Amino acid sequence: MFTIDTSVFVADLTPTESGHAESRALLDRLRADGTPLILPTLLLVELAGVIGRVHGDPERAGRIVANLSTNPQATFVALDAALALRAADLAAGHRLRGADAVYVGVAQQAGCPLITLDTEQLRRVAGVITAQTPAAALSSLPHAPDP
Amino acid sequence: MSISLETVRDLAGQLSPRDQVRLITLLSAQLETVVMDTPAPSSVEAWTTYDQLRTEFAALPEPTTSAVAELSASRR
Repeated sequence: MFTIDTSVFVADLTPTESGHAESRALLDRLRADGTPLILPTLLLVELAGVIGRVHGDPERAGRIVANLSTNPQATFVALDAALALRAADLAAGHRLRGADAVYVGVAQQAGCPLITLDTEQLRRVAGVITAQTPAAALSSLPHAPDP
Repeated sequence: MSISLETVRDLAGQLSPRDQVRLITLLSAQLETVVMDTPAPSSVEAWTTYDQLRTEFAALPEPTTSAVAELSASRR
């Protein structure tokens, strides 16, 4: 079980990103393993926004969001009052950015690592939860069985 | 040699209750293996569509800025 940051999906969808190959490899592995993905609904908003701004393609942004939001392997956690209070405590106690606190809150609540390519997020959440790059997460997984 | 489901059912009916339970246990174990090896169809469909979108995104013009850097900046 993993919480995946928006940056990993953004890199997977953008071949020119430096973290593209590792992001794709990790998502493909988690998909093959059927590993549950625990994601904040905030991811959908961020993904649509970044794709709309960087790729200038709101139509595809909408389609990728619709696709991810209905993927049975993904569980989306809404920012309800309980999660908001948890994230607020984390933001205040660990001086996190708002979005980082939401991701940490979701991962902490689920008891799973956060996978991210956002270097600032990696640095800030270290010590609060386990945060890894896709490459580090991949190397920590057991070897995939032969097909 | 082929055998029909009806024949198997008739033969199973001749087994003792204990052996019928053993047969069900055996078949359940086989069924579990099949189910565990086969991802849910809806998940497969979702990932297939995701793959199509990956291909479409790869064909888009190269962005002038890093999407990951843009995301991080938007969080400040």
